[in-house]
Amino acid sequence: MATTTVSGMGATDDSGTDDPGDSATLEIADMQGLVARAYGSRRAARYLLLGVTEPTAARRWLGSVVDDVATAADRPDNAPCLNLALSWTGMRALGLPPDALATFPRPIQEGMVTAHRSRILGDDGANKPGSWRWGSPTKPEIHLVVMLYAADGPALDAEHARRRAAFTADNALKEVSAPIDGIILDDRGTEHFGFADGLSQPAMSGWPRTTRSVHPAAEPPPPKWTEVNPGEVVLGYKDNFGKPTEGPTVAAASDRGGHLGHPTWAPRGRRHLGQGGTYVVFRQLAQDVAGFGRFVQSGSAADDPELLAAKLVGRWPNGAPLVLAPQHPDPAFAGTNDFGYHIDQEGLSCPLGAHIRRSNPRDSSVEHPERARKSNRNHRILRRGRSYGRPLVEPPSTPEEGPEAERGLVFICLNADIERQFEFVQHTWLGNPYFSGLYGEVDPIVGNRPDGGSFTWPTNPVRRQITGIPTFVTVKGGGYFFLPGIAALHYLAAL
Amino acid sequence: MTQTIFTIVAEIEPERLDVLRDVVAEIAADPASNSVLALGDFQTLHFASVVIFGSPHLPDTLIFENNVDGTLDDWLPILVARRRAGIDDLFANCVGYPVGGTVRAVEAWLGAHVVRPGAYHVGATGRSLVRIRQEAELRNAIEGFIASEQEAGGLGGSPESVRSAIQGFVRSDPRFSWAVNTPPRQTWSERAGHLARLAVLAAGVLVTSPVLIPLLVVWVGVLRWKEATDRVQKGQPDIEWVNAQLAAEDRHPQNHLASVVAVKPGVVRLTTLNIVLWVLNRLARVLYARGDLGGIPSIHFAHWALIDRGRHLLFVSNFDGSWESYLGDFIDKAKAGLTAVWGNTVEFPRTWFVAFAGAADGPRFRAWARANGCPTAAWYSAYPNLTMPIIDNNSAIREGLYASLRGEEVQAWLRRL
Repeated sequence: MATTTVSGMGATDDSGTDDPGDSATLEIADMQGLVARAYGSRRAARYLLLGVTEPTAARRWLGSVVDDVATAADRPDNAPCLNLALSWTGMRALGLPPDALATFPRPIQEGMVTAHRSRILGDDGANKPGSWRWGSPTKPEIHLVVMLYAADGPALDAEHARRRAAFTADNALKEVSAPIDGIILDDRGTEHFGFADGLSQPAMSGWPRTTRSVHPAAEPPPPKWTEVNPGEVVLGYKDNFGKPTEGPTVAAASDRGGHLGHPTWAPRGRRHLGQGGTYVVFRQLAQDVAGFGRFVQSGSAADDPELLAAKLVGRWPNGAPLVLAPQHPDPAFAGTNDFGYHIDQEGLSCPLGAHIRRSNPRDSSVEHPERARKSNRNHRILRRGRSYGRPLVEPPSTPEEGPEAERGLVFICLNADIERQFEFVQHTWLGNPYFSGLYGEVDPIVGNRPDGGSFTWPTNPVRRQITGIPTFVTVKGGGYFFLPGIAALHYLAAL
Repeated sequence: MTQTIFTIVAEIEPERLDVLRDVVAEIAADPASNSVLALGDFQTLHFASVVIFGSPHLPDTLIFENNVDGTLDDWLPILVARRRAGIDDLFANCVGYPVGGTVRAVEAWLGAHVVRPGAYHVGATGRSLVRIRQEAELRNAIEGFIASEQEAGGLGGSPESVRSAIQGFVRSDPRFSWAVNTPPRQTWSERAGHLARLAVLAAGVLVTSPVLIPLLVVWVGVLRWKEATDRVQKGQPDIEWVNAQLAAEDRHPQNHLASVVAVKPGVVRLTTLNIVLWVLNRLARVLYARGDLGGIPSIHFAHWALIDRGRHLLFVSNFDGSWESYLGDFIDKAKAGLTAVWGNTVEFPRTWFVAFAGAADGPRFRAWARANGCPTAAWYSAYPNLTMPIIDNNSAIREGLYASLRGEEVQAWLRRL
């Protein structure tokens, strides 16, 4: 198995952990490539949603593709490649024994759709799972997500056809929901609303090179705002609390091929299935681009649509943060990530409820900015999504470019603790009506506002209140998945 | 102003557990205005909860939490006089309750089952329920005034002129005649009293230090030996047990957390726990009287109390946001205090010199906290849509409305709106 190892330094430990920064060895050849990169040089992507039909044939297929799975140690290039993630029901369908299934964290076992989880994710009203295209209890179970990446459309189609022939052979698996094509709109990583996206990403300490988003970052991200311990993303490595992230375990006797290891924390007779793996949050989010444009141009603050849109987002379309560029989209700050909110406590530059201030509050705290910054590190997610659907064009030359066509974001993020990371960001920050002392408003971009919402725009002498904000983003499907390490894939194939 | 924080803890008659659960379910369905115990009728009750918990080591127990303005002697007669039937419905299922007894007998029985906190925290120190509601109403009215003025194109100009327009609006509305005078959140004598008690504690420590320090060294040595070998929890809590807790969570901006956990056996642990709670309680009265518990701005009322003759430790909290964010705050900002307390209870994550490690081990502490949490059977908040920062901001708006402010202070006050 893993032969490429990279010696890491551990975190520069300012998180209050008790362990000194011990030397960690990141076995990146045992991790799937998505942990390291978003495959930006492969411009075309397709997410296949598969169900297991014949478990034996499915395991045989899995065994046949394990060596094709791109790892984090691979050099980036344009050749077609694949990564794959499994749901809890998918692992059960493949034959993973109950004692092993019971060791997965509760969100993975239960999936994205439970009554409580729908409450905290804001999956009600137009977002309710009952109206999802895939991933709800009334739709076919998604057992595997196969993520295909290729240089362009034709290469992707060819790869898809080749892979489909293999996984449908012997009735092993089938596509139970329509595949979703991920696209890259431009080199700045612009999303459909027209804003540079994916700018602020956590960086795992000890990683051989900075993990990057779809597009080249404007500058190397400053560690102060980005660094997390590798265990915040990858299971089996030291997390921000100073101990290895404990993943699912299997009975040693079931590991006939001897693929898995026995870390010190694991009970006797168990092997660590999580090593080198991570958990994937997958959500298909439709964006009402025409509605967003209409609102900023004709809403209650239509005097300066560009500024209003930037206030809602917290950055200008070129990625310049309002904290540093409050008046105009200064190209000198395009895409920069080196800033905090402590210099703008009142939100006069970047409103307290702006999307990027909610989704990553950095050091937003009047009394304890430095402590807020450290706490913030425990709630980071590594984003790996892409846009889907054709961009809106005025006037459209095809229906796919028109205002009625569906377009949006395939939101994909990696994290080691879904409750402490993804769900926390979604609930305590983005969807929290009382975030940062605000009175009853949710995220102005991704928030769910069945009855219209408001947004506080701090100004002197008194704040403006933007009202009647419709919902711009609607959930179309989603699920929680396990992205196994390479050794774990070998184990699963050999069940 | 006095506020009283306590629970009534009573053993449930085993054969009456199901009846009791039905009664509590009826309260839970609409805590403010159900037919059993309409908690919304009281003008001094901030938060209340009902927890039903039993384990192999603890008979099924009813825990009725009350956080009220005034003293216990003010409150119990009101509770019994206004809601005797509901109190009967609830406690008639408990051992020894005087069914059909006199008012005096019922009050005496309740009083005998009152458990006072070992250590507590109040977020809105010194603000009564009436005041909290008034100040929320005032703030909403001012917001409405600003919105209508802005709609009409007004409210420009200097901060001073905007503020005086707001003052004029409030003065013109007789509903807000109370807003002219601002009572202090805590009186000078209340603050001095807490400070004096802490000073007495410190002086006591100082005077007895020649004896205390050697004793402490031995004591900590014994604890160090114990904590290195104590059993700790492994693995994840039972999913069904977690879901029983989650069923009631995140339905409001506020949440309730309850936990009952066995104290580690032996006199050393119980004594340590008592001392730690006592010292924390003295410190909290002085250090956290402004409401911000060591950087955690989200707690309304919370307390620890020893129940079951010191064999179990109860924790109840009424807080803003999710369990997940609350525990995150605990771990980041209050880990030493939590570890010093809960380190004396069974299966707590491994501690180091009493107050270290333990809760700092985030993932293990969260798993332990869920395993030892109890589902809240019924929960009442008098102001479910007011978070602690909003209550504080509303108070600051009221306190600054007619205060003499100069220069930048006027603009700072306007930013609260």
